[in-house]
Amino acid sequence: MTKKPPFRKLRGYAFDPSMSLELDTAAINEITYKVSWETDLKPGPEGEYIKVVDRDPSSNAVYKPIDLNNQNILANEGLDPSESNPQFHQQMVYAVAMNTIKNFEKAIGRKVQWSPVVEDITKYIYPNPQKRDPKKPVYARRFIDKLLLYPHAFRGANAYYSSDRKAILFGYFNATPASADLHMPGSIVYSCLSHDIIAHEVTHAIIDGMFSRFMEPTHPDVGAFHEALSDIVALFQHFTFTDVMQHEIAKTKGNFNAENLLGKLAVEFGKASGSNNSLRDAIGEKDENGFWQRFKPDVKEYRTIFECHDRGAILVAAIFDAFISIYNQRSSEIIKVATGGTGVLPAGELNSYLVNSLAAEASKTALHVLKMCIRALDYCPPVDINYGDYLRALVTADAELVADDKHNYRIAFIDAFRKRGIYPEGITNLSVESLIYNSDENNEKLLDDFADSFSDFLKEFKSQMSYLEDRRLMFNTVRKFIVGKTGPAIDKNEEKWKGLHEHLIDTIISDEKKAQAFEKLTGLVVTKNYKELHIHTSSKHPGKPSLEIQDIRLNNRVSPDGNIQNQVIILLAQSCGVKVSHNEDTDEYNIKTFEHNPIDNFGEGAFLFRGGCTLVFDLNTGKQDEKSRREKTASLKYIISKPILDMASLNKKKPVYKPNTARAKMQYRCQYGDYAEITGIAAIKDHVEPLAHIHHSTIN
Amino acid sequence: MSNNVDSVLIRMYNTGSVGDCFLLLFQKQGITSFSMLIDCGGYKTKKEDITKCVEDIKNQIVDNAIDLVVVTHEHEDHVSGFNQAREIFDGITFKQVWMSWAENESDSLAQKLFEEKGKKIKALHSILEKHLGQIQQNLRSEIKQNGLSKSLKMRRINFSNALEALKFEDTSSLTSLGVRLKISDAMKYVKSKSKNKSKTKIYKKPGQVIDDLPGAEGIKFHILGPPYDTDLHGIKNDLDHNEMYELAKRLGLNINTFHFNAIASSSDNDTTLQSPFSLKYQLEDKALKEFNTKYYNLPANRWRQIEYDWLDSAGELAIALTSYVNNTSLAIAIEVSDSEKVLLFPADAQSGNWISWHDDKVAKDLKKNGGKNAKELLAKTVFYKVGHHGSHNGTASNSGLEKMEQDKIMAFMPLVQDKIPSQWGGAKNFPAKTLYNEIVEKTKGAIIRTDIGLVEDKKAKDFRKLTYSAAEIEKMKKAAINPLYKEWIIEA
Repeated sequence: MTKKPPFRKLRGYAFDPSMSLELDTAAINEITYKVSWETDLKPGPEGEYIKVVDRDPSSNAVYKPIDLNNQNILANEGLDPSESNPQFHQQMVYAVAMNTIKNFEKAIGRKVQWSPVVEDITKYIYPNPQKRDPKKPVYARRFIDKLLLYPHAFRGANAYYSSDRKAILFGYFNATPASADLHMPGSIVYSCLSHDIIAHEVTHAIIDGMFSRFMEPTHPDVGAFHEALSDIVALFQHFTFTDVMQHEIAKTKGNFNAENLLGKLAVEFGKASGSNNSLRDAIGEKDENGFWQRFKPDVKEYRTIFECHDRGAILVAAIFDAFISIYNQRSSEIIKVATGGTGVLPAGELNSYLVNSLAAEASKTALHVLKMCIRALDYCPPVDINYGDYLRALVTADAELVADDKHNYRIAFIDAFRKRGIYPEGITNLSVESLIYNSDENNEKLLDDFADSFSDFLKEFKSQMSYLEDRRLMFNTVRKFIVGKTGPAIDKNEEKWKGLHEHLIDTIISDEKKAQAFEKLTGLVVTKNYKELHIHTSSKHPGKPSLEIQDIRLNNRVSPDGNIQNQVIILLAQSCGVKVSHNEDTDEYNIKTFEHNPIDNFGEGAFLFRGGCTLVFDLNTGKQDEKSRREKTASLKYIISKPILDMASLNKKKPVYKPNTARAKMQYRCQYGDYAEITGIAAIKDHVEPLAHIHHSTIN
Repeated sequence: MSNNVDSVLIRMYNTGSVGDCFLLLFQKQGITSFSMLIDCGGYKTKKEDITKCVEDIKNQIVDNAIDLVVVTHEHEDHVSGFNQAREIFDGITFKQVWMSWAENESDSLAQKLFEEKGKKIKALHSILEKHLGQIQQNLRSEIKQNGLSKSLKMRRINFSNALEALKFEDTSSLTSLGVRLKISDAMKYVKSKSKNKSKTKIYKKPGQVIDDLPGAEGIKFHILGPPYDTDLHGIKNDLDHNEMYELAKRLGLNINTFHFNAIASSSDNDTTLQSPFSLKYQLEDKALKEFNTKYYNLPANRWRQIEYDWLDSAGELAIALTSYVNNTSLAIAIEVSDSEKVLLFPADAQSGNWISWHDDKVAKDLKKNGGKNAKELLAKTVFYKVGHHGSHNGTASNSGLEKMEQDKIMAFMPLVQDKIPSQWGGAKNFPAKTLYNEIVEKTKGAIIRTDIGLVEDKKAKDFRKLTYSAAEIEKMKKAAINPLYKEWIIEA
């Protein structure tokens, strides 16, 4: 039997079709995507992760699906890039989407899952209509195997991910005469042919799969973070195309300046897809002599720029800076070797070996930075992320994987964030050590205790998840570990199974002392005081607060220095209704909680307020088990919390239970107050597809 | 002694809803020598409410005659009064009427505008109606999946609003005579009432300066807009991205989109558009049927369909069409020559209109005709009728507000917040916060609204205290004493 091929080669645009019209870039605009081989790929293409559905409602047409296994197409590395053949469009979205998915998987070390659909299953749980309480519908999460990609969904200069439908809709539109030099006026531009747009939208979908609450406008950074990470993925994927890098580096001749070259390219990549003027503004532009200038970052930016794309660009620019300093360091060694130590390149064409190694180094660095950015997601809080949290996640993730930061990568990131005025809250200085989420040493005993009580559970989770390949099975296994036998998503073949929910109740919540300690660590309410915040009572466990377990994840990665990471990550969240009134004259905020009802619409000033917490358990670093003397127990390594509780009030001698003032205030300002308009949140509030509105102008 | 007008009294009427109705009395030593009415309308307002305003107007004018009646553009909230209070208007003489060139049926450019607009409205209307019907059917049918019914419901609202916005173009209302009259009837009525029938006198083009009206000695009326350019660019140029306040709109509305043009070119019965690809790529017959029955239309899959997304912009397009008309607003700057003080009445002009005031040709023409250019006029503006009821797209930044230089500017904002039509995006967005803040800063808190009078938020109050004396602030408060109108006097 022959081995199955590792890749399916598919030709496509490296940027978008317009770049083929510019002499400069025509040569490199067509590249061959190496897409990991899917044996059961059906016409569409329809594979394990995605299904391309080419319905074009405005033309009332359906375009024939491409069969990538057709031998003519297979032998030809896919169809020729062509704007007029919709089947090539299907191939292009498939290739770029898969490329993006695989980059995520390489970084996080597990399979990508789409955000599940949440369904009202009340009628299945209570077949008798009289038993149903309309105020308490029962919801369940259902597995989504395939993200749908609609390459010709509508006419308009837009493309968006629809979380409701687990689909990406690409638009097409007439080129406006404003860009007559690139697009012939009146010619049609297809957003599904732009690498950046596809990568950007797929990243939105992947992040939504990991953090469904990052769509909620709780902080000016949340939406901006979604945008920024999507741009980062699109941008750095470009830098991983070695051919493109070789071409660009060769063009510089002896005048190689990594900073300017990469900056210029980043802006040009952005321009190619017409997206992201904000990126240009954040990174740099040509001066009046035609020389490319990098902008100096401004420490005020983070405090003055709020519109979600512009704010997103701050984060992109910060990551980009870090990338440049890392590349500078790596490339300068190559140049020194090539120039006998002088570092001064001769004038004229560069030696092609040098070009190739510089290009390879750029691709390698880009992939490295991209992976760092993605890996950091495992150390983010489940709700209400801000840039400071992300910086800490970046540093923590990297320190986890690479103990010795001999190239100072982490410093490069910290420095880039600092220059833009981004500081995490609650830390006293910007050293690597203080940025790494530290488990609280004062609570060592307590943390060990917690970890102990979860040890068996976590190990069982690891052993059941480790060898799973089927995404549906993985999803259902995670659900099983969360809800156990009592939940609606019950697996009939499973014996009586205790989910994490019950486990938490048995080991922590039922023990008043432990529960109190847990509250102080996580900022979530597990004692009977939950009623003071109007948090719902658990429907399955009377007298206990409802607590949402968003996900349990296995982090099983091998680091460059050979360490095997063995971590289980648990995402917890909790919610209550909050109503804020703001007195403009005194600038005072009055914050009250109320018991929210999922069917109600909230009135002015009211919203669903969430707290959340990411618990990272390490299966390698626990103490030795006293009984077996061999096996290690788990340790609770990091607690990354966005408290629903006001921690200062909780930590008083006589604890007071009230919602977190700073966060509730911020959410109010974003949804109803002074940030609502400047962030753009007000504009998308009542929109059918919020992301559609956000994206509207990003493509011209 | 000068025979010039020495003061201008301005009344902004509360027509009972969102709408413009301004009476200007030009006076010499306290005696009215010239009267001017700018618009008279309210959105879905009650006959009684607007009648009260017209009665007051009748009492203010001399010899039951208005020297100059200006109708800025053909929208209900600016002209409904001419239908609803027709009985009273019948007893008033209009010595002269001004409208924009866009209302001149014998102007070829105006014809082009009418035609384009009409076609688009018709096409958009039929497409929306058809799909709204389908949505309602879907909502009634078996589909109960969470996300889907939510989005269908939102789209139903969206499309209904769009249809409503299209109707806004020529809605009818009950008149005092008990008959239904359309907005276009009001326009015809006003035109027919003009004593001066000369088309060149009635229809105004930018660049004109009128300074010879008897009774208005010393007053120069500068016509700034609507732009008169052959490709209608200025009128269609609805939202320049950097120009209008409000970030949200930076994201939307490109009136020249493919979609829009495609809709306009489609015939009435055919509500689908031509595919950009060769027919050979389309699934047909059996294969198409199989796609639908075995996959796309399966009840389990329907929540993931994308049938209506392409129409989401229809709502925006419909509103863009009304902004088309907003951009045909006759924008006037009135200069009281002795003091060089300027009163600015931009009606509902949107960015394309505002920007065009600064065109070279307009600037030259204004100068040639003995006036000032837009920049100079803005610099001298002391009274500003806030454009389009305080909406984000009614006041331009670079070409408007930022060019106003006077220390003390009074802004009158014709806004009745709780009567904002839902298809305008809801009352909360009026006045648009970003814009409102800019106006507060520019006027140092001197803003008077139709519904609440002098604005009383903290920022406005603080600004006022810094700039104005207690007596001046008292005067502003007094401007709002009468519930029927807000009143302000500009001394020459």
